[in-house]
Amino acid sequence: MDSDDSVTDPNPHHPDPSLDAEPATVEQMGSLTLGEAGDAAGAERPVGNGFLPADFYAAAGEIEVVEEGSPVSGDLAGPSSLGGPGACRERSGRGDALPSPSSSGYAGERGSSGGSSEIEEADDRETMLDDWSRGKRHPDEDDGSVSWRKRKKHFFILSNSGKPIYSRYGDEHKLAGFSATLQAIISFVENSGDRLKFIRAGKHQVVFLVKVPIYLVCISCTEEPYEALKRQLELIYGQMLLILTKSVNRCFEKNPKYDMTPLLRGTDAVFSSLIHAFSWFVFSNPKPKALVIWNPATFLNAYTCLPLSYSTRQAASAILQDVADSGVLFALLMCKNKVVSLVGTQKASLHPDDMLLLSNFIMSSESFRTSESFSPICLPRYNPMVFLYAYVHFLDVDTYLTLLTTSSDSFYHLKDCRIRIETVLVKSNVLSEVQRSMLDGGLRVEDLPLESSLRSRSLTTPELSSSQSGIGGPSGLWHFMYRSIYLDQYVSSEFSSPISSSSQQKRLFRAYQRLYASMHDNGTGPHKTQFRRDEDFVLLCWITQDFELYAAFDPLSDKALAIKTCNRVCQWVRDLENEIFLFGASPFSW
Amino acid sequence: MHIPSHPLRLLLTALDLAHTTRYRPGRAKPKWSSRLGFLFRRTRAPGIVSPTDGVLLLSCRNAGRLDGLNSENSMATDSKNIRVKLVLLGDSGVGKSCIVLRFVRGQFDPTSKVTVGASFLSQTLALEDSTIVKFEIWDTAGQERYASLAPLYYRGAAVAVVVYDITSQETFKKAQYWVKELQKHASPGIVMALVGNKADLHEKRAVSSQDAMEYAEKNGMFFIETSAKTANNINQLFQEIAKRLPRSSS
Ligand SMILES: Nc1nc2c(ncn2[C@@H]2O[C@H](COP(=O)(O)OP(=O)(O)OP(=O)(O)O)[C@@H](O)[C@H]2O)c(=O)[nH]1
Ligand SMILES: [Mg+2]
Repeated sequence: MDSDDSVTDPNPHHPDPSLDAEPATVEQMGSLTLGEAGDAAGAERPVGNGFLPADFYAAAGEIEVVEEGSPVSGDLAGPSSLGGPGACRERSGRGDALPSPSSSGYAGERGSSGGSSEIEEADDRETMLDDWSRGKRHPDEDDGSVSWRKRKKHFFILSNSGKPIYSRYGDEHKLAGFSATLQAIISFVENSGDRLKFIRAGKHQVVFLVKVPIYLVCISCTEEPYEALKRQLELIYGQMLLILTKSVNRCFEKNPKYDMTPLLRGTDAVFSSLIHAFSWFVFSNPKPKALVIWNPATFLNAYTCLPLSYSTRQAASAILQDVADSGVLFALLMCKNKVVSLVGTQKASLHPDDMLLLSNFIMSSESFRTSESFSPICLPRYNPMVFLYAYVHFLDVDTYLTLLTTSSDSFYHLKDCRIRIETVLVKSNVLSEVQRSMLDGGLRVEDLPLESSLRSRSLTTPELSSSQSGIGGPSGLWHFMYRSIYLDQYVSSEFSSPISSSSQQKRLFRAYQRLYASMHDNGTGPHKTQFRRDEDFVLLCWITQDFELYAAFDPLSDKALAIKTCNRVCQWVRDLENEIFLFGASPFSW
Repeated sequence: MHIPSHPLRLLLTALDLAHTTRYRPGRAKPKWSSRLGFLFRRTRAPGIVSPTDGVLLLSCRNAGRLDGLNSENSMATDSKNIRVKLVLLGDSGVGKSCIVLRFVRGQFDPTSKVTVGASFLSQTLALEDSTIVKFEIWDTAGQERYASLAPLYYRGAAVAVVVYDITSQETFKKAQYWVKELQKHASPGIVMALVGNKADLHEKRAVSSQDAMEYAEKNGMFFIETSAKTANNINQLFQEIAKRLPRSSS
């Protein structure tokens, strides 16, 4: 452990050598200037050390330094601060005794997770290889099965009368009793005027999302933050709306005991691929690739673009715009979960969540790959009450065009549009460029340009890591994600060799998730910068009005160098913005 | 139209199907042309002009294309070249998509790919009398949530192929539901075929050919049992349909 970063640092106010050596860095506009001040955050408000600009002190209360494993008070307000079993409610202190679920004992189950991680790991791999497109996993299980109870992460959708609607594992109908138990817990609390947010029970966290008449529940022992799990439930709800619209609620007005499962039949693959994107890898149809990809869009609230030359993307946008002008609401060209181009009429904007849910739906529904399709689809962030009509056509294995319209009659028009678009894309080599970019991959930390100025060279003496190839980027940079707030877009680097293993990637994903949650925590945030060091990574997060940067370094990296490297990443992203971002798609960018 | 169950009726409001559910309640039940009565003949396999899926070809000419999904001129006829809008209906999993893919691409993929909304494919058939028939096929989704959308796809269709799975009585019932719906709401002159698919699974048969045949006869439909898996009777199905299309007298 680097003593500089420890909260028990006997002298938290000694000047940071890097800032000392180069005060100019502090002046740099929009540069990351995190210094020692942050180190004291967990305990007390830092005192000025004379090196940081005045406004930095003002923000000091927003800086958190968290050493994983050290008992910091004022740590993340997430689940880690909640020890044993108990319920946390929005307005109630009555958080002790819960009705013990008789049918399963799941919520009361404690310390049973000894072997559970093994099951989950094996289970994920198996799903990847076999069950992927077939959807429902282990339909034979129910809440009486040992294997079912040992699953690391369950998701349920049920009605407020306790009827099961969806379960990640097991057959919904067999889980009627369990579902009724969940309903009983929720309404027990609701009836007393409270709202149940989550329950901690040993290693398990039970998170609730109430969207009357629909309840969503996640039971997890993955130690993800509450906010992350809640967002996952929100996305699952959104995915359900994408398939059915919110008008499905009216089924329950007429008949509160209405069985909704038939309306979701055949969509298991859609939900399981979404759930996989939450965890750490994203659906890669048709054949699961050895290369595992995760989807940060599930927590970053942003979408990502396929890197392309400016002129190539322009060519794609021009023809999509042409089509949009002829009465198409949105024209969207994507390659897997990356956007090639997106155009909307009347400055209507497509929410990143809708894009995530739509692309998940299309990629996980095999039938779209067979031929061109015309299907009703609801974009919950655009309008949860109505169906739009989506014309979907795969131009090659990974690249698909989606044309959205409000008119149920426009199939032949959209088909013509697609033929025109496809002709132009082929002629102007956009499609071949797209395929090439897919092969080339995204930004690599190894390619981060070295700064050439004299000023910085004075600092780069220890920075030999860039020449030590095979261990990531300069200064031990292993990975980064940059989110442009302005554009609703993010760019993330490819995984460098130190995080090539899927277990390492999973750890990184979880670490980012926690970092994100702590930075956006309503209770203590919003924060501007955060520096963390644990046994796996050094993590740096920096949020400004324009962007959010998340970076992971070698756990032994030097802090000052890490900060400097972050500045270079930002500069690099800005230099490349025409290739990695799409301009003109967001209404704010006109 | 009578919408199957009210949850779906409620979904309809979301679908804003005001114009797609332009039902004609006052219209008398169409008289099914007697010449279309039960005809179950075996014919030689037809020669297929274009085994490739025309839809995927960029050169695909859309001359005289239909004006919309619901265009009433579902059959463009010039005695030797016929364009036909055909819709497949039936419960989920009976093998509609497999039938279409066998006919259009000559393939059978046993892995289940539940259709979303509806897929559009086309295929051309050359008949013995040198007539060329281009089928524009709507392969609809059999899942319940899409049931209320069916009018969008069958309205204006010249041919409706109602499919059931011979190993499931339930899917046969569902087929009868679709036949009734088509009789009420489809174009009056629509050619209807009843198809018992998965004929290769005869050891698990739950619907007798006799029952299906009688039902088809009663409702003026053409009946055939097929197997998308073995390709048995797939071409015959479309060949027979082509023969039954009304021709313009020129
Ligand atoms: N044995 C056998 N199986 C078949 C045959 N045709 C289809 N199947 C199987 O039935 C399953 C469902 O077939 P689909 O063509 O996807 O069914 P569908 O009617 O299109 O279903 P939806 O798209 O949900 O409406 C597939 O997994 C096929 O393997 C057949 O002729 N014989
Ligand atoms: Mg199908």
